[in-house]
Amino acid sequence: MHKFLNACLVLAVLVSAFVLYSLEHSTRGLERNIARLQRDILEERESIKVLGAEWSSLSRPDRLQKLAQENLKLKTITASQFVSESELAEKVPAEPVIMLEKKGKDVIGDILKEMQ
Amino acid sequence: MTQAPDDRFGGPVKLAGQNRIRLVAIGFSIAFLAIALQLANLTILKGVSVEDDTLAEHQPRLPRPDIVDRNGVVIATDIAVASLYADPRKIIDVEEAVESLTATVPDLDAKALRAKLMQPGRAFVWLKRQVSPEERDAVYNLGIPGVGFVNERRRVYPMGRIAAHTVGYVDLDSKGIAGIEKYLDDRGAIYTASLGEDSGHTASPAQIATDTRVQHALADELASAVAKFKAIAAGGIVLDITTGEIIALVSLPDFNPNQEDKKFRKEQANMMTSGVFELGSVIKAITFAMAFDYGVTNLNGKYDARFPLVIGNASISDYHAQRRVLTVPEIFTNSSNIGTAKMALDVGIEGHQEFLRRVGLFDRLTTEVPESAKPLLPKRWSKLVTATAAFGHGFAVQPLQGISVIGGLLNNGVMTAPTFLKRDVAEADVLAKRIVKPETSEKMRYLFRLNVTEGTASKADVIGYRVGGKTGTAEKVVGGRYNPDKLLNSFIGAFPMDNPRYAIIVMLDEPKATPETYGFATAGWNAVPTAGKIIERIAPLLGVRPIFTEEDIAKLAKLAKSAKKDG
Repeated sequence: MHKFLNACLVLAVLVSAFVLYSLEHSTRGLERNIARLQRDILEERESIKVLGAEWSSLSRPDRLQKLAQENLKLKTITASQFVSESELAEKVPAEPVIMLEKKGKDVIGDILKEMQ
Repeated sequence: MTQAPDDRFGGPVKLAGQNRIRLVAIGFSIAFLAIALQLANLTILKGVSVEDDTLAEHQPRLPRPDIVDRNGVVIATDIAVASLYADPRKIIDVEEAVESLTATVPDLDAKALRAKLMQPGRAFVWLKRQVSPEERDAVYNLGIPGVGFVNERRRVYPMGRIAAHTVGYVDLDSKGIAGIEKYLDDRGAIYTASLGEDSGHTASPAQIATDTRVQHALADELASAVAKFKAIAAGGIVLDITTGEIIALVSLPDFNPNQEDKKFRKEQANMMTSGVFELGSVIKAITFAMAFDYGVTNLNGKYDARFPLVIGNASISDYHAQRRVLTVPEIFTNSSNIGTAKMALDVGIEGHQEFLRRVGLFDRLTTEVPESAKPLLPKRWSKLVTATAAFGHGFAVQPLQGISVIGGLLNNGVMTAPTFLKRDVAEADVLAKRIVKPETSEKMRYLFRLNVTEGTASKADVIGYRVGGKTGTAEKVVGGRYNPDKLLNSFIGAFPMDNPRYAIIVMLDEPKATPETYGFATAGWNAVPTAGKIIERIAPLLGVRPIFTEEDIAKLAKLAKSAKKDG
């Protein structure tokens, strides 16, 4: 009886030692994984910041203005260029615009020309 | 573990020490149980999170929040950089280290470097803060013992000069020195802490009221005005008078916060908040509001401006002298000193002081930006002082305070303390303060609009946007006297006048007359057209819809015709 009990206990110790070891092993693996992911997240956050700063720097209004003045023929918008929706609605042709475009007509262009 | 009873000898036999064994066994069981329970408690119930520890290694303190504009555009952010340091105790050959370091990092000074490394007692000296990634790699490859890197954070301002006065800047140790950056460290520490997220490792950005697009348009137009009129300085503010948010603030000359050494000249300071100026006739608007609010006159009132006003041995005369009896609206559009002084005298010295106190002109206006100046008012208040202060003489305020008060007069008589941080309507309503009656505000709106349609500010009439405004041409005090050749010109206006939302101030310091202005250097010829150009550019950005009356359409047609003739 005693021997059997002791044998059981020894077996239990061995099994639990094995389970414990393998648990610890996998835990370490997971911890390493977590640490790596955290590092990656930090790196990604860092690069998001750098990219955000870069985007902000590239889309600086003064830079855009300079580029626009050099490369585009655009002018500062004036109040008289604003048109209300209702005004626009009056000039839209009865036939659907897409159908007219299929026939090779520049509908929007015509409206703009007419308004000028 | 107990001994089984043995029946062979006709009864239970007690082994010697059985009780003791039992006792020991119980003791062990208790001890193991305690350990098991604690183990279960720590691992299963509480579950220590690993996350906190690993992250804390990388970011030891709460990071500085980014600063973004009202649309979320990044204005200031932290990026990681490496800083080079040395441990002189560990350096074996100083000469060799100096030689190879100066060869790789060109801006290190050999002499200073040698002196730094020759201190065997020190364990830590900075060699260079914030080195570039290429330099870092190069120094790594040298492999000098005792030389290493610390990862630091560096504040960068991708927008450069835009909104530099509002945002301010930090020193090498990321401590705020000026502007909102200083606010985040000092008085706004609670606000800064509130931005930190629960984990404590990231912070949501601080959102300021500035709109970078409007800010740029304002700066750009002011810069071209400075060039055109050869002014020595210029400034401007766009204020949302319904919420008190400062949409844009420009003070020229400005600075680039990314500059390595932050030794800025005095002229580069933010004159819109840290300086006080006599705004001249712009102040008349306050006198008018006062007279209306006390009910001493109304829009049908008349004042005799035929002769200069004599008080004691001083005489007050008009710049645009009309030499006739003027109605109240005429006094406003002709900017008559005599008429305005008489209105203030009707209110009386006490009433005048009470009104100025009510609108806050006796107190320093403080905002988040630490640079602020107290208004400069006459010390002793006499009849003459009331008369001259009525049209802005001897009366210097921060331009921001000036526009804030006038914004309040136009915003239905409700003034909201200006702020550089984004604010919502509910917050603004709590802070709103009534300074004049709504009827007074209505009269002021009429006068401001009238002054643009047919008064001194006609060049700011951007057709469609219903601009209203008042001009001011103040002579600067040089050596204790007013100098008629050195002018400080200003324009304070608002749009759209039927329901004013945005107020704007434009200031030009010592603008010169040009052939285009027919030799005039008064505000109507430089500050006003500049303001007009600014409004034309920013109104679409601010979402103000143009409305055209019949008159406007006729005016536009006329303009188009004359443009065709010229072109």
